[in-house]
Amino acid sequence: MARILSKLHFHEIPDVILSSIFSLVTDTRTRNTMSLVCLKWCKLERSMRTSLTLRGNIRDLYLLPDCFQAITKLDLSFLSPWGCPLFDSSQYSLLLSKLLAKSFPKIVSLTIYARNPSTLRCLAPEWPNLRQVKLVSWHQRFNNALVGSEFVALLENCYSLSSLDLSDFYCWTEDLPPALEAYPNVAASLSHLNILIHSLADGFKSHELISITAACTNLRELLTTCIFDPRFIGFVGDETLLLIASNCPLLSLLHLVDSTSVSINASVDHDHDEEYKTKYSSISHTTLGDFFTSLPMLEDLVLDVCNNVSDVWPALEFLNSKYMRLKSLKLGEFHGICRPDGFALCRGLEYLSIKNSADLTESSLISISLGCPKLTKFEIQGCYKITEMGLWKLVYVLQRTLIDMRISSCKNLNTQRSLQALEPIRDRIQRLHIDCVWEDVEHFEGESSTDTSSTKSTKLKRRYMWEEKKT
Amino acid sequence: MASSSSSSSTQVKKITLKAADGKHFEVEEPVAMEMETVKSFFVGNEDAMKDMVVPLLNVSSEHMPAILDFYRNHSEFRKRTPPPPAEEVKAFNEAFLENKSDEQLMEMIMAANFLNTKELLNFLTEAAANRIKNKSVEYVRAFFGIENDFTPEEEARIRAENEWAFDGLDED
Repeated sequence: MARILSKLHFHEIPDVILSSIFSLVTDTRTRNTMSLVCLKWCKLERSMRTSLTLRGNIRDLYLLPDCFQAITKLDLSFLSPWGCPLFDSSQYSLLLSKLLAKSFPKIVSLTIYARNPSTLRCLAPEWPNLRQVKLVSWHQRFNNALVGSEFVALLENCYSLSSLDLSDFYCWTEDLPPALEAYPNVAASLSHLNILIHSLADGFKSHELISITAACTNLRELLTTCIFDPRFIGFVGDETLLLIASNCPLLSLLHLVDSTSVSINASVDHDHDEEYKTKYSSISHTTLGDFFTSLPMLEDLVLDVCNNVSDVWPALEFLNSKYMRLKSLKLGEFHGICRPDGFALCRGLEYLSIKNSADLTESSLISISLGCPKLTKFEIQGCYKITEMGLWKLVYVLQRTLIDMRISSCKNLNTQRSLQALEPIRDRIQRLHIDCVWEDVEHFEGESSTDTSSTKSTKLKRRYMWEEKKT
Repeated sequence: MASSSSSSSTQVKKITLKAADGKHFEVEEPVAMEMETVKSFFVGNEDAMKDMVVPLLNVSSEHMPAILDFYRNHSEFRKRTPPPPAEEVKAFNEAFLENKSDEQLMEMIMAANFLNTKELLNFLTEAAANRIKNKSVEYVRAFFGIENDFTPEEEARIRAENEWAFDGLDED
C-alpha cells in the first residue's frame, strides 16, 4: 500500500528537490542526459545550465540553437577546425557576433580563441558585462596589426572586467602595458591578472611590470613571468620588487616566475655547483623584508628565481612573525632558507615548495617540519644535500597533516630511498610525484615488487612516476 | 537543552510517531525534534500534549528506523568535541546508503522532504545526484519514475542541441 502511494508521489517530486539535484550535477554528459528525460526536466535543465563549452564547426555556427539562455560561462576556444580565426572583418562575422549575443545573453565569463584582433572587435561590444576573460592563441600576431589591438577592443567595451587570463595567449610583452594605460578605469577595476605566458621565450621586462602594476592598482592576484638574471636588459631586481609591492598593496597572490623556469628547457640538469658560484640575482634579503612589509595581505607567494638569492632567512623569519596569512610559498633558488641554528619558518603555511636550494640539509628539513605544523603539501626539487634520513624525519613529524608530496631531481634520493622516507605516511598520502635519477635501474627493477607493495596505499588517488636516466 | 541529559537521566521523554501504515515508533524527544515537522506540531500548538501521537502521513514504517538512526548519529556527531574525524562520518553515511535501492532512496527523499530536515535531505539529494551521474536516460527515468513525454521530433531536436555542448575529457 505504502509503496503504491509513494509511486504515485514520484510524479510530484517537489521542484525544490529537483532543482537541488540539478545543481549538484555539473558534468556535461549527465546534464545532456537529464535534458532528455521529459519536457519538464528539459526546461529545468536549460534554465539551470550556466556553463558551456561550445562544440562545432565555425562554418555551422549560424545553426546555433538559442536554448542555452542561462549560460553565464562560455568557452569558445574548442571550435573546429582549430586554428581558423573565428571572425574576420566580413559582414558575416558581424551577423555571427549578433547571433552569439542573442543565443547567450547573460555571459559574464568568456574563454575565446582570439587569433586575430577582429575576433574581439566583433564580440566585445556584444557582451559589455564581461567580468572574466581568457584569451587563447598560439600564433604570432599579424605584423600589420597595431600593438595590443586585441586588448584595446576588450578594454574599450568591457568596463566591469575584473579578471584577465593571458596564460595561453601568444602576444608580445610590450603589447599589454600601453593598452592598460590607455584605459585606466578598466585597468583599475582588474583584480586578477594572469600573464604567466607559457609560450613566451622572454619574460616581462622590469619597466613593463612597473607600468602594468601602476595601471592595475587594485590587483589581488598577479601571476607573471619575468627575468631575474641581472645580465639581461629589463631584469627584475630590488627596485622593481619594491615598486610592484607599492603599486599593488592589496595583492594576496603573487607569482613571479623566471621565464627560463617555464620554458621547456627548465628541466635540463645544470651543473649547480658551478652556478651557485657565478649566477647571482640582484635581490637582497633586506629588500625581501621590505617587500613583505608592503604586502600585508599576502597568502600565496611564488618567487621562482633562476638566479641565486642567498641568506634569505632573516626575511623569511620576518614573514613568520608578521604574516600569519601566508598559506602557500614556493621559492626557487633561494639559499640559506633556514638559519644555521634552526628556526621556524611559518606557522600558517600549508604548502611549501623549495627548488634548487644549495644548502638545504637534514637539519633544515627538521626545522621546517617543526616550524610549519600545518603543512599538507611539500615539494622539493633539486636539493642535493637532502638525504633519506632527513626526509623521513620531516615526514614523521608532519605525519598528521602531510598528504601530498613531490620529490624531484634530488641527487641523494632515488626512488627507493624516497619511498622509504615516506613510510610514516604510507597509509595517508593521497598524491605522490616522484621523478628522480635512478642510478641502478636493473637493481631497482629487481626490488620493485617489494617497493610498490611497501608503498601500497589505499588513499593514493594519483601517482606520477617519471624516469630520468642520467647518461 | 535537554539533549545533554538524555544520556545520563534514566527517564528520557519519549514522543510517539505514527508512520503512514499505522505503525508506532517511540522516539526520544531531542531526536524527534530534529524533524521540523514534528517540532512545529508542538511549537505554537498549545493544546498539543507531549504524549500525543504525531501522525507522519508520508513516511512509511519501512524507512523510519534508518531515518531515526541517521538523526541519532548525526546529532551525536555535532555534539562531540572535538568534532569526529571526517572518515567516521563518511563511513556512517556510506553504510547508511549501502543496500538501499534507488526506489528506497527516492522514498526516503520524499520522507525527508515531508519531515523537513535539511541535513538529511541534502545528504540524500546528493546521493541521488551521484547515482544518476554518467547513467543512461532510461536509467534516470526509471530512477525518478518518469514517463517519456517527448515526441520523436522533440527528442531529436534536443539531441541536436546537446551536440553543441562539448563533453571534454574525464579528469584522470
